Amino acid sequence: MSTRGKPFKVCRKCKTLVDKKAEVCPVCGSKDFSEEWEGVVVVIDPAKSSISKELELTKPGRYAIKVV
Amino acid sequence: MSSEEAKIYAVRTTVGRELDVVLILERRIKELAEKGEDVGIASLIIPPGVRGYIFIEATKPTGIYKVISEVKHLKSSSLILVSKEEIERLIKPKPVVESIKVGDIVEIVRGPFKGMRAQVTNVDKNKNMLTVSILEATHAIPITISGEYVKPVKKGD
Repeated sequence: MSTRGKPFKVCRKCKTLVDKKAEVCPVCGSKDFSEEWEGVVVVIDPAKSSISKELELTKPGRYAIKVV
Repeated sequence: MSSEEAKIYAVRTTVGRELDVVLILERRIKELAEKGEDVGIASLIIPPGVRGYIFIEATKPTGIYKVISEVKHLKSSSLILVSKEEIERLIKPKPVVESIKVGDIVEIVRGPFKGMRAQVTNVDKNKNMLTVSILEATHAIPITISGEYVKPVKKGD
């Protein structure tokens, strides 16, 4: 994955990837973000996805796999 | 389970452009969904540390072919079937501290001591932290760092 200017930061609480300019996580309302993250899962259909179950992600969206 | 069970396929991309490809595919899937077309894709995955590949979880390969055609930075349209165990190993790696013991030599891969080798003097598995002593340093100064910051180099005696 490109490390050159990642367009997102990650909410430490729900692992959602959000725009770097966002001040509040649009999903959980947290203000605790990290710019150090690795791996991405884009959940399209959580009901059919075994990966989202494995990572305990129940809603569609963009998530980081590892938050540093 | 029925034939609706999703399988995971790897697709080659240009190294460093994995996220760009995933975002294009996500947009295409959403556009098709808005038109009422379900391509059967459940998720798109870029595991940490994997370069040059993205993974697509889908119930039918035909749906994948529909969204990956003519995408910039996709190197091939051939799909490589990957086992669930393999992808789970990539997305849920065992913490490094699980395999490290006192006396082991590690290389520090992040932070101000990046590139230096150190000997492990203490392991806190619960907190995923290590105390190490830098080998290049003239005096033994113990530093405590995250298990994420090291990679094992040599087992201690």
